[in-house]
Amino acid sequence: MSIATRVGAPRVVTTRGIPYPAGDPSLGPQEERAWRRRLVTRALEVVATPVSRPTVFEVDEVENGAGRGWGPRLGEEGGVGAPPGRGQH
Amino acid sequence: MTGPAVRIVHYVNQFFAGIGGEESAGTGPVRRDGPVGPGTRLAQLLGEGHEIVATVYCGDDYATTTPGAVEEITALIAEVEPDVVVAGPAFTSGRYGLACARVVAAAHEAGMATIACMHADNPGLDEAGGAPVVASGETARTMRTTLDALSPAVAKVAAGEVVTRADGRVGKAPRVNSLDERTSAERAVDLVLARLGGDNRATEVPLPRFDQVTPAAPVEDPSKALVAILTEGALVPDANPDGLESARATKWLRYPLDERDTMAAGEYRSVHGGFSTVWANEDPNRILPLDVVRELEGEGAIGRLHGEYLVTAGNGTSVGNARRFGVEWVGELRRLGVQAALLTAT
Repeated sequence: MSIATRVGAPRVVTTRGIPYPAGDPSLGPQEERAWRRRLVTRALEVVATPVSRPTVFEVDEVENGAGRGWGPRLGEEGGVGAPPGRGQH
Repeated sequence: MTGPAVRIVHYVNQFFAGIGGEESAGTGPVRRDGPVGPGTRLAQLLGEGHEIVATVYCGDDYATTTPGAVEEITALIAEVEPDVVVAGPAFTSGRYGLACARVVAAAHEAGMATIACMHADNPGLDEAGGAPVVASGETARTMRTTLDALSPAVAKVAAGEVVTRADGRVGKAPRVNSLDERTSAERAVDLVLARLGGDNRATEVPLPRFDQVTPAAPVEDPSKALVAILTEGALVPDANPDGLESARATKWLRYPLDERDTMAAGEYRSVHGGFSTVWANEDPNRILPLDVVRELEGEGAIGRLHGEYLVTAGNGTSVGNARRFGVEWVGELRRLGVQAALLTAT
């Protein structure tokens, strides 16, 4: 279970590392900004999504990434089955 | 051999005094002789040897927002010269809990023996100063069991004994040096044995509890919402003009975003002491994503960005302070009509 769900944050979007929650220094400037934009766009979807308990939402690794539905994956609510994000500390 | 009865003054709010609900929350402090409301049952439970000689009540709004209210209440209590001051139970009611906590804190400060009763999640808990607080249930539906637990704790306070966790005490307890009969090594081994025996709760150092937060209803349409951005990443103007702590923060701050499209390097920096701030200072948008939020605002993806960001340092912050920051942030954002908040956490 992630720290965010354990402390009870109701809606959580996973990012790539503690020192840069809204960035990724391993990317070039344009790619990093595109990643940040996807994060914030996802966060805006998430605040418009009903949840009943702490829930982790993933963000597409690449723009228009395939295989991602809108909303939490099955079994993701409550942090169960949420895969660790890249660079998570 | 019985001495004179212990004289108790009981503090309750307007609701439990039977004056009224929210419409009477502005009522100023009043003292009545004898027990009122829950005090009647408490007096029965305490039995002979204890007497609730007076009840002081006050509206929750008056008690928590009027300057000098606590002093007025404490003065009404002190005139009766009680042996013990009891406040509550306040359950999870925030203003009532704050009032109870401040009243017992002031009475304790004035040298009176005191005890308050409220739920462990009540925001008043941390304001009780040196006065003991015992746990109540969540709502008044638990009044009976709550008073059953409160009454022996009141008797202990009246007898000059220390109220402990075993009595249902919650919140801060003043540290007192004492010599244990067993060495720390022996106690540690006992705890290991207890754990191996299946007792996962035995501890000498209880961990802080985390609240269960009921998720807010979803925002209907972000493209019409006033949105705020917040961070616990300690991002402040470069000179850190208000002295935000890098760890164990005791405060939060707000800084303007109006007429800014980006968090420029050199103008802002993170003073967070819990991670390397090299990347944050290289591009502060990595902590507070103002650049893309402005872009999305321009495109109509959000209605408007709130004109200030709120910030603290989330690094070894006490649960009590963190809870207070949360309550204050929500109050501030609600007051200003903000409908959604994005908080970056480091």
